[in-house]
Amino acid sequence: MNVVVHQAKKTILSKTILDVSDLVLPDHAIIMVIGPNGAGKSTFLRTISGIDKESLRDIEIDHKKIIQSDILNHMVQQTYLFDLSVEENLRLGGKGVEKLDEKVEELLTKLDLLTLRNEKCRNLSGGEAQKVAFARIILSEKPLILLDEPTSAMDVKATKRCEELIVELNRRLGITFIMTTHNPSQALRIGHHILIMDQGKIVEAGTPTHIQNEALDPAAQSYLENWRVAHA
Amino acid sequence: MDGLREGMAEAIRLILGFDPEILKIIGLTLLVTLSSTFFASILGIPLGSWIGFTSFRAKRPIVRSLNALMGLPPVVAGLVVYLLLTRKGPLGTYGLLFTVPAMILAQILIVTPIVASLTISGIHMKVKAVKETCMGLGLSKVRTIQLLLYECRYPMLSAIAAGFGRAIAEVGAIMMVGGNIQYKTRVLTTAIVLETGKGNYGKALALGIVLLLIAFIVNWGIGLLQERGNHERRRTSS
Repeated sequence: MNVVVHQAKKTILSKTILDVSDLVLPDHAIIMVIGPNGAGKSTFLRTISGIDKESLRDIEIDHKKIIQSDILNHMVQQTYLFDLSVEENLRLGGKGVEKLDEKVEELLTKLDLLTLRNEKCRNLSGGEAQKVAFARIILSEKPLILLDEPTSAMDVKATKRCEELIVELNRRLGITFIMTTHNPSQALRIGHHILIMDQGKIVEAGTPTHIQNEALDPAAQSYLENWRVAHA
Repeated sequence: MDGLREGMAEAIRLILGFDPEILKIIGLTLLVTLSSTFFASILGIPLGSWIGFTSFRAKRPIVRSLNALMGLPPVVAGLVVYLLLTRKGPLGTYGLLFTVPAMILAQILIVTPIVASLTISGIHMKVKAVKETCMGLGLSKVRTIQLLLYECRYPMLSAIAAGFGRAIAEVGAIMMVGGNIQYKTRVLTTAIVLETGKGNYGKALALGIVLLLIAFIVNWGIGLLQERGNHERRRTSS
């Protein structure tokens, strides 16, 4: 899945929220987007998927400017589950999926949701709800999946399971993931390509090794330094 | 105090004695209020859902107008319907003035903005999250609307309950267009006004008690439906 961002721009009251141009993302990769709060990570994802209607947008996905719903799925930051059971919510992401029952069972098992399958989603904890939303998004196995902080409410075990699923789907089906996170460790752990954002711009981009050892931009360096100090 | 005590005794006697006039008044009240709430819901819920779901230039003034119409004085609604249905009015040929349909029509005018406006509020609370989630999942617009309406079913029930509450308590409009004719257009509220004026406090109190009972029962029923979700939650977590 080839993603080229010719231009993605958003300003609110003359303040630049997002300003990305001429960005070519690697094919079939796990692309991690990191940066401080308000850096524009979510807006970047929302602009790519077209959920954000106010952004100026010139993006090509697989050499097409019109993004169709059968190309990508986007898990937005605010988890919203419908007032249905866990399984019913999960199945909403399974439109047109072959062997749906089998895949639903597999995801419920892998994400420890089997015992909750008939539970109404309003009874779930924040972490459980996020697992359901994550499963619902990846169920369709679309070529491009955007994940906005998909594991922010999960415990360590659930986060690890989700990371394993992302890596597995990327390896097995070549699905391109673009994922934001507040955890640089997670980005370095599973990302093939990392983008560091600051004040709406991509200030550093490259492989995990490059980001860790050769990041030159002062904002990127400062962000990574703060993270290193916090985790020392 | 004596008057009140006597009134209460009279009320109990009339209610337990199944007074035929009171039964007729109760029947008419239910017919008028339930019909007007039904038709106002048929109009108000789709209208409110559409306004809540879509974005268009005139949305804000329309929502504000509907909010303002929630406080529409019943006598004004009554006057409008009266002028429409009077013999010289545009609908005068149908001879509907001082009939039950005229009363229903007046109440539809009062209740529809309430149902529509509260539906918009309910939709407004969920629309962004539902739309974005559905877009993220690549669901169609029709499926998005279905899911949004499902998610807003309890706020919509509240809107219907509020509309019913307004309809059953209403007196000004139905008095104007119904005429408070015995056995034909007399409902609980208009009968209470009449009996109080005549000094028949017992009868007025009896009618008041019945009015309160109906309002309680209907709203209780709607409340039970709304709380069903909470009962399920308690049951599943125990």
